[in-house]
Amino acid sequence: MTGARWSGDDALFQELKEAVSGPGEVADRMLDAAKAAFTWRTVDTELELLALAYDSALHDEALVRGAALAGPRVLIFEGESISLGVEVGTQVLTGQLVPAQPGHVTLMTPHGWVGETEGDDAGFFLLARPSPGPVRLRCHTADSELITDWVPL
Amino acid sequence: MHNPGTVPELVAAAVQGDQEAWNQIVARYMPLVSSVMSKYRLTAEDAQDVSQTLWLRLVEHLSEIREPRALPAWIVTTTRNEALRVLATRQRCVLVDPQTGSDLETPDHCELDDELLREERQQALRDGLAELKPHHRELLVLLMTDPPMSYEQISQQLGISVGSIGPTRARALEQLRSTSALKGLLTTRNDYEYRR
Repeated sequence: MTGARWSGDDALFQELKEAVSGPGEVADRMLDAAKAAFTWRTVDTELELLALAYDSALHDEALVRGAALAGPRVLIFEGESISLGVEVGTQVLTGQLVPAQPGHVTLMTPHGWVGETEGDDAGFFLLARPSPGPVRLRCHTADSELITDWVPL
Repeated sequence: MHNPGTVPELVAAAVQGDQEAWNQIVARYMPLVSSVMSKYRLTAEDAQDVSQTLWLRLVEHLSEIREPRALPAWIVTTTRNEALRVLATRQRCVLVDPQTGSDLETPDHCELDDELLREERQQALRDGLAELKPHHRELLVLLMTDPPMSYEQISQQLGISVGSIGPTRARALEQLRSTSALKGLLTTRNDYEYRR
């Protein structure tokens, strides 16, 4: 199989040569940020990761096309027994925990924590929208500690 | 050339909290991330967001990557998804034609996939080269210099006879074909989707 991909030594050698001459220089700032990402490693095994399951910006073509008519961007993070929906407004993030339950919610960027709030009994909460870049939410409820995937706003 | 360790070793060490192993993963795969991003018309700030999101995601999902050799495919897929996500959020503001409502920029997905496959293959070749025994790797590296070195110069530098360069090159390429990186390339063929 592999032999079929590079039918001869010369073809393989030529592509190896192209591969090591490589895609060029990489911005130092990007490398530094990538290395620093490691400090966000979750070591707390009690923390449940809520994976990004839906993002209207990616999944809903109608929203992309009808920009003027479209509502705010919607993100849904799913865990095993709980989900978290977030509507991204121009000024605020409106969130809701499902099933409805109160909780303490923290908003984080790669530079650290940028906001926190208490969700009400229906699971609703409001946070000021941060500047563009990756964010994640951490929620502390009566019986769980949750953290979402990173998603760029 | 310093042998930086295999990808499975680096992933295992990073899962255990080894920052240096993580840095090596970053150094090894940042060219792949950059080249995937270069297929999209991202601003410098958006590229920074895509890259940062990719690496933050990988930190979180590293322990779930069951087959470390599938890492390049995971990186390509995730970078592409995040680039499309960032473009989609920006396009909602700027790149939709108000007359027709159609997107002004529609990436050609077939062309894109060909490019991505090529990048993934090249990453596997770089990884494969790192896996080779030093004498095989050194010979290939010298043969690839630009401008090219003569067989006499290579012979002096490596202390091998001119006559053995051809056969050694053939053996080195044969070894390259059987490295885990190139074998991994074949086993990840149908493994493109972002898996959790």
